[in-house]
Amino acid sequence: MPCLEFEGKSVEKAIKKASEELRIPIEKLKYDVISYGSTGIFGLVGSKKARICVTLREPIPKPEAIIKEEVSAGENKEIQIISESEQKQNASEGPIELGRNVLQRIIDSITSDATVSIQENSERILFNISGGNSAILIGKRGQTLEAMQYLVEKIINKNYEQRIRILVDIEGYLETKEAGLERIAVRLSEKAKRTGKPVTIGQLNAQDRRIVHLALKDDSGVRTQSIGDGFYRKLVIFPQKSYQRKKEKNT
Amino acid sequence: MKDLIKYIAQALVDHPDQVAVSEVEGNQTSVLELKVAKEDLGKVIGKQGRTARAMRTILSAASAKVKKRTVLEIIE
Repeated sequence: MPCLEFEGKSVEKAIKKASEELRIPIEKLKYDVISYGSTGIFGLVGSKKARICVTLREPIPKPEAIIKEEVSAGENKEIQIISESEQKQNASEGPIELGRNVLQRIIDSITSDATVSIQENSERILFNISGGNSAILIGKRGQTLEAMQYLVEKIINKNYEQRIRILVDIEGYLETKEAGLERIAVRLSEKAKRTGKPVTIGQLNAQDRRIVHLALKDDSGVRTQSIGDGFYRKLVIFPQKSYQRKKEKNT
Repeated sequence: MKDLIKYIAQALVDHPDQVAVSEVEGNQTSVLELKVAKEDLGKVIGKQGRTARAMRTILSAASAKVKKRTVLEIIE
């Protein structure tokens, strides 16, 4: 049995469209629902269309004509879909607006009078939060900030094919944190070299570990490595043996 | 609080219409129960529970504003 797919914002609309295009009254239309639509966020982003599959009954007047119509209808449908998806992109103003809306909503529930400004570069979108109670927004060890960044990134990337990286900063907190981590990295590498024993740093997330790795990349006296899995993943700074020996020779 | 979690959860899942949040209020602590479609359970929990943890963190920051504690439970 021939099966024709129709799309619409809701199942009802898809049925209506099908009945108009096939010129079959709605009551006589035989169909299966492929997917129920969802409106997505704000009815703009990530909306999925409802799809139905119309089964044509055999006794159709002038089957050839209808099949022809099907083909042309199919072509029209494709063109329509393309133009619609273009419209969707324009109307929602892309991931930046979405991210701003989501982030603003989260912030508003935590503190009042905080605003979000946006900078965009080729690699990532940077959301900068200012005002409000920044201490609560950052949280203990920056965990609230991290949680916000993670959720916003996840929500944006759910709606777009391409992977978009984002960064959420509050009044220069990230820079301060990076400087602090680099200081700790240098201090611990000195310790490793002095004692000749590996030093571990626990409780760092992936970005933080990366900062430490990069900070010690050019230090020939130590080697850094991440060990363990998931929550227990640690960063270990090993003193280099060759460096140790050289040092012993010299003394 | 309830609306916030509902909003976040709906943005994360494939079936936003099946997201339901109910609140059991207590004196100091209230419990939010999040219910999603079975296929979406993994989406709200995340790898190593990361999404769930992020939501709980934001929830506790938000409830600090009203001087309360809120617990998020994800119901299977």
